Amino acid sequence: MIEKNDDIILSVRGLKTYFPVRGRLLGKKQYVRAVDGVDLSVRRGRTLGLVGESGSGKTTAGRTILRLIPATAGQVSFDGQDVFRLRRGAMKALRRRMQIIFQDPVGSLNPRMTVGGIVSEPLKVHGGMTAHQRRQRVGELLDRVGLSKMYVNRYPHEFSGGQRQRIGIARALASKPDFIVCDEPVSALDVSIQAQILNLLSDLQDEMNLAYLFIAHNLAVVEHFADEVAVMYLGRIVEVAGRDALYEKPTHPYTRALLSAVPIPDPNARTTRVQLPGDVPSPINPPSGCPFHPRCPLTRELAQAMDETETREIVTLGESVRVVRRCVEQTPALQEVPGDETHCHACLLRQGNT
Amino acid sequence: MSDNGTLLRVSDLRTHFHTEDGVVKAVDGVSFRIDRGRTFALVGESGCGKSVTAFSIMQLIPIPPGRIVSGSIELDGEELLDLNEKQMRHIRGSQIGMIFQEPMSSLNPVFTCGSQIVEAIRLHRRISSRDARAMAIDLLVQVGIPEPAQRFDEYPHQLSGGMRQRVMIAMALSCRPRLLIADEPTTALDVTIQAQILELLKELQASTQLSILLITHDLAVVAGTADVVGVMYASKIVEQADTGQLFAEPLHPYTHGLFRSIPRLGEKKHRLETIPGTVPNPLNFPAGCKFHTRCHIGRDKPRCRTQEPTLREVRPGHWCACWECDRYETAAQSDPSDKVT
Repeated sequence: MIEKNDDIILSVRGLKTYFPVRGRLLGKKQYVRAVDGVDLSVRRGRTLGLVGESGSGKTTAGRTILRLIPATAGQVSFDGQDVFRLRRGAMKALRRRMQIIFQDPVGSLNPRMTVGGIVSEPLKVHGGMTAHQRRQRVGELLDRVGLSKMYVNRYPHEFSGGQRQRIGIARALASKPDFIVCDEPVSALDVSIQAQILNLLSDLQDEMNLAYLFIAHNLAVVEHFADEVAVMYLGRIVEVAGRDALYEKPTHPYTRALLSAVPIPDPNARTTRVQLPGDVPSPINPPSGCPFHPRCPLTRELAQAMDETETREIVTLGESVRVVRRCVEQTPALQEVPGDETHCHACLLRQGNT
Repeated sequence: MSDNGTLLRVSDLRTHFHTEDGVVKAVDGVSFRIDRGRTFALVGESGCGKSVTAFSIMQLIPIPPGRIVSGSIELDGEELLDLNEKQMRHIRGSQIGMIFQEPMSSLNPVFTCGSQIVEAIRLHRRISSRDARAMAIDLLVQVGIPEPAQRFDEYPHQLSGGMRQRVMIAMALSCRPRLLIADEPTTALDVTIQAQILELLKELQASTQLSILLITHDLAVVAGTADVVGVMYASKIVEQADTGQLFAEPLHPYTHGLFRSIPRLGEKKHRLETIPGTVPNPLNFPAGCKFHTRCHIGRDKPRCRTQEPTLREVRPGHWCACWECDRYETAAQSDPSDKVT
């Protein structure tokens, strides 16, 4: 996993973000462990897709990396600079290079500012341009994202969802960043508009050599868009691989279940669905050992063929099931899939074989 | 067309909203029917009028500004538009149940889930609260909620999104309706939970002969659940066919564009095909075919620009509102990149 490489623009090590919960249980302070030890690297000009169900911590991870939320532990290095240790001035300079596009194009644009004002705000903050230059640059940016320059003096509410997302993209591009966190950029949009925005993001990447951290819950979109994919569950990465490896040879049972839950737009498709019982558990008190064990189909299946010393009875969703003892007791770490050093998974039951 | 198989028949429904800026024709001449025990899906993008169609059937359109201008909605031969509010209130719940996209905002946060189901039951049936409680717990079991007796006394915020949607389904089914209107029932849910809910709906349908009107923007959801599909664009159904037929051979350029713009698993094409432009403003629909401004075939055709096509039966059971769809379909089929792997 750890590569010393000029190619890597962003590298994240052991990132943890905990939020304190009000009140104490038995005198102990409790925390929501939204991100609980995440390692990632994003290559220059490439896209890392980060997928997971809601509550998996993917959005929090994205924001912590940008230092929009304070990290509890861990290190983020951006082009050789330790992001969490930078002082104010240096951090401001670095923010020029790291931007974000939000999911909700309504909530992330100030309704009282004109489009021109919104897009030129980063240019003002980072300085060095005259008003005339700024106006010119805003025109170029709007043009680039497919909006007419005539819209400069309009307000966000006058635009459709797709157009608003274009404004958000223009704003993110204004400071000429190298890296953009795209936090579910298309999930609030209609299908026909989604494709337009995805194509725009991909053209911009080619043109400006942008690196993306592409956060999404739609696995088909991620397959289409990402070069590498990391799957998150309860604050941890459970599998990371190159796109083709992940989609063709998913190893972690959670990845398999996620993939098989994606509905296929073909009425004749008869897939063998891995039905996942229940929901993502609470990150305040995550399950012991492998956080996935209460929902994991693999551990239940393998436990049947094992004798009692190797298994344990757990109660989940009101019924008691037998699972592999190791899954409850040991916390799995990411390990390589034999023969593919870029493909790692965190499953105790898939050691040595697939 | 055997009528005893038909549960709901909507004919030429028009629902308009009178706003300060003008008349918004949100639904403008929509017709379809749903057979017993079957699922009809209305598919379209936001603003196409699919939800207004559902609310019109339930007569939950705010009047004013809304108004059902004309048309007919027959449930099992009974004309719903002739009923008064009291009669309609009896139909809602006991004949037609409804579930919505966001279960959190459709459940009352200050009452327990159980008491809300009991309320729904006792509105329509004269039974003791103890019997109603037993029935409610039984319903929670049916919709697959673990530890139902305990969940009964919990508040909506204590449940996850998927559990809330199950409670909504339990409530909608509490009086054994014959028709369930599901308005984007899985849009707010994760894929894993979506799969659970869709499976649940199918099981319930198989065991109770429920008819379902499924409203969604997601063609992939439609593929696995619906028997018949209507594609809506700009307040009208532009194409309608059996699910298998529609997916095998979409005829309308809009439907075709929708299919091509969805990213599919197992497909790594670099660029997605898009439908240019955006859905037109309902205050100011283009003349002629409402899709012609975005259509790569009809953009310059004089007929498409001036005359609006009506639904016609292009194949047996396959209806399409397009002047050019006969010619279009050959072009569509010769494209091998359209295959799913």
